[in-house]
Amino acid sequence: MSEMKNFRNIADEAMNNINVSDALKEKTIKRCVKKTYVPFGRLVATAACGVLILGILNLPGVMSNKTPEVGQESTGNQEANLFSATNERTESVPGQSEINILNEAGADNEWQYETIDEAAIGFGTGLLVPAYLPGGFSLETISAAGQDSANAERVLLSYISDDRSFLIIEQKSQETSEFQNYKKVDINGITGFMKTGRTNNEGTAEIQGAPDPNTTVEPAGTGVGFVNTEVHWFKDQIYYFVSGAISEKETLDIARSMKNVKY
Amino acid sequence: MYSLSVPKENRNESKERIAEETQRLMEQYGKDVLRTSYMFLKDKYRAEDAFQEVFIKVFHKFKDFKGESSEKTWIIKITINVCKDILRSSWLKRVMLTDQIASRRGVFDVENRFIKKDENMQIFNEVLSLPPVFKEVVILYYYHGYDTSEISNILNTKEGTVRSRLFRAREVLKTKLGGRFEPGE
Repeated sequence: MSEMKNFRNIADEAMNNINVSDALKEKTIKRCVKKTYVPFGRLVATAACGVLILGILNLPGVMSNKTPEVGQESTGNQEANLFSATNERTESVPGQSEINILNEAGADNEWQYETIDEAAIGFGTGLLVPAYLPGGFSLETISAAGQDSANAERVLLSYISDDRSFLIIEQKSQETSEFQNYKKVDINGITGFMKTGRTNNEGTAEIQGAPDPNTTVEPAGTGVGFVNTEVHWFKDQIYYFVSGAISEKETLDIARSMKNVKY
Repeated sequence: MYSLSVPKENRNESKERIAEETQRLMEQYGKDVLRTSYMFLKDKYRAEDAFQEVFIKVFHKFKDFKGESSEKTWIIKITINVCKDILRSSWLKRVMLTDQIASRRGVFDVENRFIKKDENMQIFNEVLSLPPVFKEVVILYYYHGYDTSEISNILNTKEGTVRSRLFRAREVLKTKLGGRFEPGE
């Protein structure tokens, strides 16, 4: 009979092929000493949000009330659902985590700013940064895309804490649109569109049912999942998007606290 | 981020020293980090991604480590947080990688067959199948040998909550494993 007090031995026996190779150590140290540190979570989120933002802004029919351009036909009212997922078990691909969505547009150059002031100069006066951050969060990276660092079209601010992360994307946009099936919220007098969803423990499938709007991780048990919240709004021809493992209240507090950068 | 007042040559020296320290910690605790990550993520490639993230964080936060806990406890805490972040982000990642994962699925199948080969492997498998909040306390308690007080510090959770989760985790394992489960408290 096996006993849990032997779990260390049981687990090590099961994982006897899970060992730290010299190549892994070498690769890790090389990444450590690189000047710019871009954490895994940020890269993953960056990648996904790139898909989202490009999808949201470029795919016809994703948003309602969007007028098709000349020669372009609307494909209907398909909804952009950030939380849709399949039930398939998925695995990652080593190295693939360093996908950068800022290249997804194809023609954009991409770079990182060292400071908010630099980003504000490059993006212009429309760049907003949150005065409020939930406890433990700090700004991790400032990525941008566009013509060059003096003419950014899109800025992505990545914030992380020990166990959570969220992103702010700001993109110059001539269009203002409404999102279907999103909750309308007030962001300092402007209508924003908010949605909260949750995925299962593996992060691979959407869980039905409304999560507690004030929690990011729900109590354990069947149906446990991670809460992700997103809010979108437009102001002065700039599209703003906040999304991450944060509660609805935290998301709104962040969005409502966003202010111009003085430089 | 380094202060602008620190001369460049001193910064480089400091960076080299921290890299050496990081390498030492990697030698000492690397296997624990990798295997703990594997138990959370159930995929050795994701575990290797987590391993890198953990030691990159160790490198960047080394100066902030005040020795309030042991080095191992500090690193395991980072490991758990990194794994949670990866789990939380994986649904986003799926959006990007759907087309590229199909060829990798076979690897997991092989591992699945391997870990199911006998009774011990079934216990291991059941622990890995626990919800994260249960799994983390089981791994910290049974694999790393921390007591509930230490676990509460690592997880920033009340000790009573840790005990409750441990109790519930044992109940789940007992239900799934029947007579093969001995809690070994």
